[in-house]
Amino acid sequence: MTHTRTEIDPDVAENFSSKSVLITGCSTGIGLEAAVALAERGHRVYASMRNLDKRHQLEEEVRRRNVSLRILRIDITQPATIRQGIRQIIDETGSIYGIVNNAGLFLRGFFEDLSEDEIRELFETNLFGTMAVIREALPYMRSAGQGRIIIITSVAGYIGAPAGSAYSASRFAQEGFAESLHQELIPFGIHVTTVAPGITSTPDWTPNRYVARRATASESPYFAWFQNAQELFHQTMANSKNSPAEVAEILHRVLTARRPRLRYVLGKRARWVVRLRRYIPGELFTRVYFREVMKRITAKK
Amino acid sequence: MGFGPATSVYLAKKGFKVYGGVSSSKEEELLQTTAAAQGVEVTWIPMNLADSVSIGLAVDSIVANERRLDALVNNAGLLLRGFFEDLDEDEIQNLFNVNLFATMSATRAVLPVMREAGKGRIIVISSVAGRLGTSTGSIYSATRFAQEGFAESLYQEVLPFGIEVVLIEPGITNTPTWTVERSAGRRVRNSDSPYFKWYLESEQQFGKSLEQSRIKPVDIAQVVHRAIVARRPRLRYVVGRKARFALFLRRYLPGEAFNRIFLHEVSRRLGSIDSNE
Repeated sequence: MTHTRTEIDPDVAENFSSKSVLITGCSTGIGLEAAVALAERGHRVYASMRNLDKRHQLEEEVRRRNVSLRILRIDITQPATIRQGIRQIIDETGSIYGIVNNAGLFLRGFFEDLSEDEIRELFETNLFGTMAVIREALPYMRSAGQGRIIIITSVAGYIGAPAGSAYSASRFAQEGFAESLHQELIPFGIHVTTVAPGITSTPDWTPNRYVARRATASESPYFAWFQNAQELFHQTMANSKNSPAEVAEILHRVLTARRPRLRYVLGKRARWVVRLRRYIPGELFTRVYFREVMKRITAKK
Repeated sequence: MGFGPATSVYLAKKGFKVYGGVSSSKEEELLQTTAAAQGVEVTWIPMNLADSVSIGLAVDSIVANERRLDALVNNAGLLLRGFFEDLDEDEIQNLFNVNLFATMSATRAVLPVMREAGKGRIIVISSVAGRLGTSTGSIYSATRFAQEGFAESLYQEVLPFGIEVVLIEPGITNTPTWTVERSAGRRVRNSDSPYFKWYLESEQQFGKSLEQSRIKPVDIAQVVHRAIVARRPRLRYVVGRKARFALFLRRYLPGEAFNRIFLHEVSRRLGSIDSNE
């Protein structure tokens, strides 16, 4: 890898007051809101998405709220697109201050109903894609002696749940990765932070979009339980008061705080569950909470 | 001796019929000589951990022989040390294949027979690194954390079938496979790396921790045995005093105090190497 382009051109840096931030997965949901809200706050936002055909919703919101940002095509499973995107940011602004790793997939289904391919695909995006973006940006951040790396994870990165084994594995993995990386990069002035939103209802969420193929087959031994699990999940989502705007607010804080925290958990309910699990001694939480969850899911209707 | 042979022999001594998965003739030999020295019999079974089909076939042949399978111990695991930027993609993939995806494949293969029996134990040997990230351990911790999230979810999914999932989290243990040499990423000793000096320092610290470690493979074997025979096993067993103490502090120190005090301190110590010279 060459490091020749990592020097900051002093002219570029001076002409430019706010710092550039790359956000991945901005065609919808949390990424879209974060891109617009951070632009409103004066960050120089580069909003990336896998498929530029889906940029219209973001563009509309940009017009409506009268902000300016740049839209990039980055597929985080394709290193060439990452390199090109980050190169563009460096060329235009001289540096990259922040990356918000938001692009992520979801996968629901009991473990035996998940195919190997589905699990691999999930890891390619949530974990290996995130690593690839960070790997590409790090030389520039190190040479600048500053930077913020944010990974949007999930409350599923703290607590496992039925029908979420592979998803939780990918989110836990992000947490472990981030905690280690945080320590490796502190001496360079680079902060790593994970932001875990609770279950958040976003406008174009569709119930079956993230369901494993075999999970809805009635011959699955888990079929009835999965139906119950989905119902509970959708109820929680419908009652959720978590909003993408709240996530964007925290992102701004992480980008501007002198010493951001390593971890943020958002949403009242999520924070409560994480706190209970942490402070309840021994395995009481496991015995009570997990067993209760399964009792509900296996209850006959 | 690693955890695998130690656990196989220990369980065989306790009267279990043990099948030990091996991925090379060297491993097979080690398993056989260990078992012979202790006067027990352990059946070895070939297994390519990067190939889910091979894992499935191994499980099928056990079930064909025994008509039952009471416990699976997911012990196979590799270590990988190096600062993240010094680790290559193929090294990362290999670690995930062995530590996570092989665990998933073996688990997938045994679940039908355990569901049918209405009982079973799935044991995942993780690590204290599955609860705590450290510098030079980003990928290793990612694989171990992933196992934790996987096992915790699976625990809930299969509990109604009478199947119990157990995580065992040993602290640093001095086994021959965990020597400093074998676990380092191939680029870590490249003096062009911006992390080079820190890596050398961390290697020394790791070597010291290995020397000081009091955990023996047989300690893990005992916990595995307990998890298999207990009426209601725990979801998690932490093995090792230091590991338990660190996790206790992380859990009960308020907010991010643990992070600020301990984790930052480690980084600062490494980061000050340059200025000391």
